Amino acid sequence: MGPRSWAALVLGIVIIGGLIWGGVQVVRINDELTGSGLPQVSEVEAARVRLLSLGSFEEEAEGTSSVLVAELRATLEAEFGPIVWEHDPVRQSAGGCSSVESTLDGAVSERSRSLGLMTLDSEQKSRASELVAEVSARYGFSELTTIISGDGSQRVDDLRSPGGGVVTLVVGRSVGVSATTDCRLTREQISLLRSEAW
Amino acid sequence: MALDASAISDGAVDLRRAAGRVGDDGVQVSNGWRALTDVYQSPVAPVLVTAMEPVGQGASEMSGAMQTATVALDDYARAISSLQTRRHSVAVDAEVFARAATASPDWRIEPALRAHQSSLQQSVATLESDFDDARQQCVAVLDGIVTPAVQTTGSFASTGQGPEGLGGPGDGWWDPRHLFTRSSLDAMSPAEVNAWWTSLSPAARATYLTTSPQMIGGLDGIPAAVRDAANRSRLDRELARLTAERDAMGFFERNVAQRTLSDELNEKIDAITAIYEALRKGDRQLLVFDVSGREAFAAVGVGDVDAALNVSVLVGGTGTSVESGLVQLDQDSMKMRERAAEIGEVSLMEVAVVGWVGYRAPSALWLAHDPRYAVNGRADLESFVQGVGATSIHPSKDLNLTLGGHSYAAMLVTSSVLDATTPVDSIATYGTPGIASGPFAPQVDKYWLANSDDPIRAAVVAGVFTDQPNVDDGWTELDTSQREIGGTTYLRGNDHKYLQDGSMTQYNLAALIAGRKDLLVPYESGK
Repeated sequence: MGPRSWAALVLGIVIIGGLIWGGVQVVRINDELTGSGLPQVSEVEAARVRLLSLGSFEEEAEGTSSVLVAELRATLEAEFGPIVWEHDPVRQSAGGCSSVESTLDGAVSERSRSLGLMTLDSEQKSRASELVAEVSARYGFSELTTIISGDGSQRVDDLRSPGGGVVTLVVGRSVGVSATTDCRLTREQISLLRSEAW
Repeated sequence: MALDASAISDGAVDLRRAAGRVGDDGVQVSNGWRALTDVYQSPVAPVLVTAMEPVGQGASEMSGAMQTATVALDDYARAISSLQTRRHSVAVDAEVFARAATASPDWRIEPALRAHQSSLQQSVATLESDFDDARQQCVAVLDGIVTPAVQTTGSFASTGQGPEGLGGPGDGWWDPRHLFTRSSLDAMSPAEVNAWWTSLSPAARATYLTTSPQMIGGLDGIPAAVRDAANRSRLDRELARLTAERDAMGFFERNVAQRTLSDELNEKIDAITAIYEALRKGDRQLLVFDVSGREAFAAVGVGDVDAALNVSVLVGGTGTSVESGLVQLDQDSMKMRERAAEIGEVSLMEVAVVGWVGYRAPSALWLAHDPRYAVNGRADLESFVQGVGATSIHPSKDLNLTLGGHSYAAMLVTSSVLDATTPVDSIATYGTPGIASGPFAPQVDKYWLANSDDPIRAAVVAGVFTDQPNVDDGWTELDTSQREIGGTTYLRGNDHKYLQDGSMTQYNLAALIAGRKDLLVPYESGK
């Protein structure tokens, strides 16, 4: 094989390699832009295994969001005096579940929310934020992120747990507290999956 | 099929004559008794006249109802006449096939003949379904007349006021072409459909819901709870029908001869599975469910769309389909609703978010330069939001309706607010490759969000679409950035994702959806 042939071979390999790389990039960007990142079977299986290793929804989540929100209400009232509250119904939803977890049958979390009809001044808002963070941390919700509105009148604190649950404090015209538990499988679903495994 | 179109037409003619006589006789009775007051004076005379007055009114209403029935019968006769012509063509085609099959040593292994057989089977199935639809339409109209008569002790006047502009009982409101036929309903605006539906008696509504769930579930302007019930009632049946149709295909049809059809059937079956997945999470309304075309369409609302003061319709972009995108869109809608209620400082009941997959989106990036997908979907989205406005229990001035379009859907969303009559208050486009050419309805506030690392920016730079959101055209860019201030983390949106829980992009969209424009965080250049 002469030098020209070698050069042609190398050039060919480079071109083919470039085309393959380009193709992979096009597919990657296409997947990213089209949202065709449906969960892989392995991801779903990993989520199932993880949730199966935890306690059931009935044991570990049911009722806890309302208990936590009640404690947050009591704490805020102890600091700022009586507050009139409006409550959203306690709901079971997939709000504490990741996208992959939410595809599993029986994966569920619980959410409670109360809206307090009281306007706090900026100092009180900061104090409310501290108090909610203290109480939430005892329940495992401690990773804080904050967003402040464009006009500065509203502050939103999200306190997340490693398991996907979140406590949210919104202080603006009023005081809103909500709690969403971590994602869990229902007892029935755990029994079903374990019986299938046998 | 022993249906005789001409006999039905003859029956309709007789009924029309009888309707005229009933109306005339009723008028004569009323006029006669009124005239009696000129020649007969008695303390009880006014009572007698008053007692006989309803005869004329009742006869007039009955005459109107009979006219309704005649047109329903006429429509039915026309439909079956046309279908019988089609049936004749199919019969001829079947004869051709039979001859060819007889001449073949073994037609079952000849692809052309097997394809012909499948095509014939499909024609017959469609024909049967169309016959059934025509019959159901006629039955629905007739039942809608008869049932209220039983419930309202002889009065046919329970339909109340007609749609605005269609007149009242005295000037053509009883013309059934404006009332009951599918074609006339399709021609109505969502507001007119809503007025028609509101005018029906509960019994007539129940009849329509039972006999024509496909029509009722797909009509913009029908209340959300009714559409939900109609659409849900069809899910099991459609799933069974599609599964049976797929399972009836042999290996050869599934993989070679009718591969496209087989794929479509599988996609529709997956779409229904995805719809079930979304609905089982509760507090959902199935507002669109259509598997009649090549692709499945659906829209799932989280919350009560008619009762909520703040309603948003979120539309997915390139690659969005019911089977692959609805579950994620529904999950995002649910979280957006919760966030909007929190930020809006209102009850959850006051917010509803709809994930709308009612158009054929480009399936891949390299198809997303084509504006025709948006052009084709525009009328359906326009009509859907008009329907939301028409069925809301809140006056239009109070309803806060927001339309959100991700990626390619920015084209669709912006094209659907070109008409000045749109009830939409705000639109938000995010991850936008481009928008439709304005001018847009002047009352609509326009916002856009663009993450700094969104790959779609390449399409913007490349000029794939001519028009982009622009401050000079009245658009406002909203902040997507993450900042650290005093040790506090402000989350930014990332990549092509804008609805992530807890992100800055979600915050801004939620504030918009909640009608709290005072809270929006605008983009500041150079920050």
